[in-house]
Amino acid sequence: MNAIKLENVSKDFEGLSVLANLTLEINAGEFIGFLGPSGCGKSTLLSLISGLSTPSQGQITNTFSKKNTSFVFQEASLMPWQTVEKNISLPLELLGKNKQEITIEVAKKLTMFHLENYANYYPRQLSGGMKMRTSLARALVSNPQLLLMDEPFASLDELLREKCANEVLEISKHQNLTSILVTHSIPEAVYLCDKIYVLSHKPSKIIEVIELKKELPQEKTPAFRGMKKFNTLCENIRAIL
Amino acid sequence: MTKFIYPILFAIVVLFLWQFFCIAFNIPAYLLPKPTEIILSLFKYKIEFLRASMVTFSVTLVAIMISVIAGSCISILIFFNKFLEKAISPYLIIIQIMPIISIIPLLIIWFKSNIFVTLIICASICSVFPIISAMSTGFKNTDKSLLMIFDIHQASKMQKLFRLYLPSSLPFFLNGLQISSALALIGSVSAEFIAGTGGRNSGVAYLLLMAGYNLQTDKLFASLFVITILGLVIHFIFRFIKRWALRNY
Repeated sequence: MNAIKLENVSKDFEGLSVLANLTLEINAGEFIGFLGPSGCGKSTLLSLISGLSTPSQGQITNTFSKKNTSFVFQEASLMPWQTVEKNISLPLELLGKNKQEITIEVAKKLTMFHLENYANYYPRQLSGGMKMRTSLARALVSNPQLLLMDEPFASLDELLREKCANEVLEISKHQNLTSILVTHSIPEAVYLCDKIYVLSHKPSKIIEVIELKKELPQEKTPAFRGMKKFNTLCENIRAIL
Repeated sequence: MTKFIYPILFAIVVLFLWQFFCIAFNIPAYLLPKPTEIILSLFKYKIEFLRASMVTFSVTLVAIMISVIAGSCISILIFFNKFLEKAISPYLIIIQIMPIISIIPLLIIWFKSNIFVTLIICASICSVFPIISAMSTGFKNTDKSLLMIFDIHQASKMQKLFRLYLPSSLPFFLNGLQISSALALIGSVSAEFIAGTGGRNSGVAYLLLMAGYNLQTDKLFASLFVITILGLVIHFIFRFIKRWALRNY
């Protein structure tokens, strides 16, 4: 079932064309990746899908409400004046949930992301990985159906990237999330996504759609990164880009 | 420790040379008093200086409070109302570049029965703009990603203001407050020069002015010293507030 549908979507900023005639469909529960060069409008695309901005042309159908949508950004974007616990509870508080519900959900996410001992810490006291885990916990605390990720692991080191990617993959499958990932990293996209849209330079068009679900094993484990097929796929995508 | 030792040593050397210069060249006290005479003057008029300091300090503090309230309200209004921003921004700049001393005579006419109010208004006008400027910059520098989180969860304007914009702009606001506090003192001293009153309500600037008229140069230097100390006290109070408020940022 199509959960999100883009039909001939274009976006201009003061005469500058960023996205041109994008048409694509995203099914519920799919993990979609957008790969493309820097500044090709990938983040703009996320903003359009979320409904926070409107296309200059074309139509977007999104069956997920804003309340069921969450963002994860390149930087953790935490509120420095609030503790880890208060940062995580932000979406629930904005949605007007009651205190008891907030306490239960936040406690669950603190445990899920191994942050229970850091609940009263401030962001400045956390490492880069812990900040990103707090950001992920905040994104998932409201149990969204659509998760939009804008280069979420770009500021992390290689080992931490892999660890966070594994966590996201597991949660995404476990909660049957529809996930959209914008990234520069080919291995990350191949590891996480069911389908990858490769975008061209500005004005961005879809130059290739890669269906990974057909070619790759159902169960992606960390060992998958070492497989020959994984590397071949990465090479093929690199050649397209 | 060397951070303090060298400046203190430098001050001792300068004071020593100053004293030596005055004695060696027999400089009259009304032209350049000896440092020892200035110190004696400080002790001689200590009650007068203390009372005047309290007046200047009170004017400065009240002006800072008014600036904080007025500056914050203006910043919020112009940030959330683009029409208002376009309409009043040019006038804010005009008032900012206008020499404050030039409006003091007008304020004296309006508030002649209460010089204290005149002093406070002058000091407030001097100190309000850094607050407006700093808060506006702070609002504009709010993390766009955080704003998207607030937008996606359909936060109200009030939620955004109190939970995002105001806390985000706090570091900018406190920087502005530090500049504003220094300008408030300059404003109150400048206003005292023109509108200053004698008697129990006189500030340090009035004492300085009177010392100049009476050729009490040692008292004039002592007044300058007191104003400098006042400035330092205000600076350190607001520096402490800034450090405390931003301890988690």
